[in-house]
Parts: sequence; C-alpha cells; structure tokens
Amino acid sequence: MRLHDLYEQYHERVQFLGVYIREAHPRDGWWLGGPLLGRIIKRYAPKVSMDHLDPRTIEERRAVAGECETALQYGIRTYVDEMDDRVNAAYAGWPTRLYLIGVDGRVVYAGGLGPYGFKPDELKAAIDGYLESA
Amino acid sequence: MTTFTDVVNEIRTTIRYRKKLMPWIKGLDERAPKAGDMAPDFTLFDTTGALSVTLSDFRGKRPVALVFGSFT
Repeated sequence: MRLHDLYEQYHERVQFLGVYIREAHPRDGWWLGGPLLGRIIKRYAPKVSMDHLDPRTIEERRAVAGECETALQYGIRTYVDEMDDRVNAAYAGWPTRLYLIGVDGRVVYAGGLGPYGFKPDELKAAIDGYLESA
Repeated sequence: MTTFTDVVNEIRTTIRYRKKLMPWIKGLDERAPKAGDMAPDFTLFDTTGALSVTLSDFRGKRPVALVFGSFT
C-alpha cells in the first residue's frame, strides 16, 4: 500500500501531516546517487531526489520541502522541521518513520526506522484497528 | 562515463558513512516514542512559512498520522 492510497482512503477521518526533516542522503552527506546505487534507487524509487545538498537555512529547507511535496504527490500537506531538528529529535524520525496519534494525544502506532521499517501497511492496520475501537 | 574506480569509490564512501552513522541509528529506535506514550507536541510551519500546525490542536477531534521523511 502506498501513502497516497492511505491518504485517499482515510483523510476524511484521519489528519495526515507530513513532517519534512533533515535530508537523509544529500550530495554533501551520505549520498546514494552515485553510478551504482543511484541507478538502483532511481529504478525502484524514481521520485526520490539524488541531487540536493543538505539545506543550511530554514528558507532553503522550506524550498526543498516544497519540491519534495510537489514531486512525491502524496496529497499530504508538508510541515517543515526547524533547523534545530527538534521535532525530528523528539520522534526519532530520521530518515523516515510513521506514527499514528490517537485523539487523546497518545501514540497508537510507532513505526520502525525507514526505509526497512517504513511500512504503510502496518499504519493502515493501526488506523483500521483504532477507528473500529473508537 | 562510469569507471570501475568510480564504483569502487562509491562503495567505499557508502561503507564509510554507514560505519559512521550506524551507532547513531541504533540509538534512534530506543529514543522513539512508543505506543501508549504521550506524543511530543509541536508547532511547525508549512513550506511557505505562512501556515502553521500544532499537533495538540487535534486532541479530542481526530487521530493524526505523522509521516516523517525527506526528499533524498
């Protein structure tokens, strides 16, 4: 299941918030856009960027987040973590992670660390279970 | 033109970064909020910097799915 499908199915009952955090694989960091890995990743994740530096200012971060939001087209509005990475730190969100928060403000589902633990199917099951029990 | 040396250098770089980051990555799961924990509240702005959202504003109203990620 793709995030876009989850959003389409549940957005009237669940608030989806995208949180853009520090880049995972910028050109000036742990870059995966080289001749070998770049080809593999482009094949399996064609919308992922291979050509961005890690933003140095909040303006740069918002600009890249906007490009990301446009390119990925999940339908989910993106909010941008501040340069002190405080939300990322509070949720251990880097590089990718999913959560479901209940109406009481408690964590219902805490997904694993992406990319291997990034499982929209698990989030869907958590949403289904939560909505059924509500 | 991709050369054998390019590919070897790429693999070396990936191994070097992975070694550097793995100890930090291992600690991330331990720091992540768990089911049943209160979700840390936050206020963030959208990509224009004009619209904000506060997680706690949804309390008592609707559940929230949080999607953390970046472009690369």
